Amino acid sequence: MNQASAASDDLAYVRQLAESGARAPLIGGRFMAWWGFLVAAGWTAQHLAVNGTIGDGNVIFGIIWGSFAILGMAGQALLARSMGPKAGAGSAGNLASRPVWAACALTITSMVIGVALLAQQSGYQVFDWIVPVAFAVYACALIVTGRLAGERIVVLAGYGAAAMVGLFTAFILDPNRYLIAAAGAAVTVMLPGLLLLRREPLAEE
Amino acid sequence: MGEVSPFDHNAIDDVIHGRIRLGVVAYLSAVDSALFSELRDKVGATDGNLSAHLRKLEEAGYVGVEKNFVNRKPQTRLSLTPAGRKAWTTWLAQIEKLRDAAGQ
Repeated sequence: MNQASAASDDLAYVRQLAESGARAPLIGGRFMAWWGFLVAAGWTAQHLAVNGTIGDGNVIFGIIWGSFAILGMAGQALLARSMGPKAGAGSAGNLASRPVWAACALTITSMVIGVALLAQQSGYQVFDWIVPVAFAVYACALIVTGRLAGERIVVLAGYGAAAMVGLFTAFILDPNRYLIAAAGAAVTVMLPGLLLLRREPLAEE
Repeated sequence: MGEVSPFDHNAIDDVIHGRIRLGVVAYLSAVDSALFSELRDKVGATDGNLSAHLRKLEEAGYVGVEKNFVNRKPQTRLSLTPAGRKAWTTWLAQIEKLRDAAGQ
């Protein structure tokens, strides 16, 4: 083998290794699946409450979303504890994943506090607008982390979440709007989370 | 008289030119850090072999090693230092020159 072909061989080898590091699978599938399931369940319960099938008065909304927050945080802590060290945790996609999703949670929490304060002060209720804000931040997180990790399904889910912003807004006066939102959360967050979980590398020894 | 080749084989950094060390540096160049076992699987080396190569890279100041315990298990995490990143880009530039020289 001459020097030039040895150099080409070396370059092909290092490219393959560098790409395998840069495009490591996302390892946050369990968190996406968990929160996607909870959000879908929460919006389904919201649909039943809004249409009077469950609960009486505004207390039911506090029960639904209070349970959501408690279950969500408890599940998050359990899932984080059960997850061993994973190959690819240092990739750009996985490094970006945590702060991006934390920013999403912060943005949605800020919106929830804002609309709750507005309702308390003026009685003006705009709780429905939390949904498009949530889908907008899901879209950003999914597209950014999906692109960095080269996970096409996550990028597609991001476009789906972006489409849900407009779809929910168009149906915001429809009595079934929260069922549409629940289906959207299941398809754009829970489902890709489960798919990522299946492809996730095993914990390292 | 032909052109002088831009390739200088003395400029090739022997510390990273070996196949396993090259693999380690290439992989670490694409991630923030990696676990020992992750690197071992990627470059296809045994534990002992990889340890020996990592020691050379660490001695050259190209790789940083961080040892700690996670869930009461020892864990070794490795990352490329700024000197290692510079050595890596220099190696890539030299290999490109070699290819260019061969193409002349």
